[in-house]
Amino acid sequence: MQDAVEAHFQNVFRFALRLAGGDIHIAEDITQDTMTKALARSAQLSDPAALRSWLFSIATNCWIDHLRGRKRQCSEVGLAQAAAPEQSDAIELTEEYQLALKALDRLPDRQRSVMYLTACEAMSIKEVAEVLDISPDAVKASLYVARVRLRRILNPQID
Amino acid sequence: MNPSEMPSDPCQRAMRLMLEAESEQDWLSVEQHLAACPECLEMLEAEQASWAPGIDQLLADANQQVCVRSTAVTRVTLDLNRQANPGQRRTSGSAQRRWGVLALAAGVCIAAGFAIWPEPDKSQQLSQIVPDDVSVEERLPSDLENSVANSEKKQRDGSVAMQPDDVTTQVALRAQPGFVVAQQDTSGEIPFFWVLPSNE
Repeated sequence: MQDAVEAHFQNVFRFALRLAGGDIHIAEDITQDTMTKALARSAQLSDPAALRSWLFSIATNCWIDHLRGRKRQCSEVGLAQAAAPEQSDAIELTEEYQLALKALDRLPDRQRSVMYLTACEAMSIKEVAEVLDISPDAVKASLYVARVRLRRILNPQID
Repeated sequence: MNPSEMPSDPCQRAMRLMLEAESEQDWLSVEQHLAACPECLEMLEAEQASWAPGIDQLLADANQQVCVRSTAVTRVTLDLNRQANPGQRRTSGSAQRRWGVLALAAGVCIAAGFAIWPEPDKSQQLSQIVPDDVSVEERLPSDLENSVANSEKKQRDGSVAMQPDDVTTQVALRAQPGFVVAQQDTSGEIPFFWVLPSNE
């Protein structure tokens, strides 16, 4: 089981990176939490074929936990200080790819997750719905809106 | 957008909003309408068939590039110790980041060392990033040395290396040549790092 979970490490990390809006440090924390929880709860996974979706569900919950923790931190130490974004590590990308990922990172959480899982993980609507625990129609709606918004930003590159 | 100019029909209003959306609230309204209106959703799904694949492909390509690039800078501290001892204190993210910065800086130094000296001695590499007052031999149990060697071998085969843990330390790493690897002791602290030898 450990090997199977480990095999998805890169996928989980990349998903976490987008959840975290490109912040590598947060993505590493989310990935570590996800993998640790997955290994600890591996007995709960009844269908091995659903491992990837299951891992992404855990990652999504870890991200939500992280957001809750950040909100708590904001109320404790003051909004201005806590809200300052952490500096992301620079990842060398072409300008085109940077623009695409920045545009994706600017979308709200749900649209970003739906867009990422569909485009980058090639997940079906049903799989995405299971990962995010929302209805398939909600997935389709978020996906459409996300695509329209990205199209407006990225139009010159994809036409 | 002037609300009085908006169509009263919810479907028309959503379409109009989509064209003129100015705020997150506008987009949210569109999203909520589409999720609740199968007719609109079906129509728009058909409409996007001509242009959506281009966006999906661009994102997929960009994401794939991130995967390749980030592999070179990502260190992993998969703390199996927490799994074995759930109540145990965990090294905080910020502490890990402090060590991470140190480790990455050390990694750069080591990488530079590889470029200059083709076959550096492993203990010499380690000594560059372990605190001065601690000898490498004292802090690296022999079986961990073996683990490092095994990692190197596994990576040459192209597989992912996971380290076995020993009695006093829990080490979990996804080692690749040149990677900075963190070793965590049973208290959850990270006492030091080392860098796996490069293949080259």
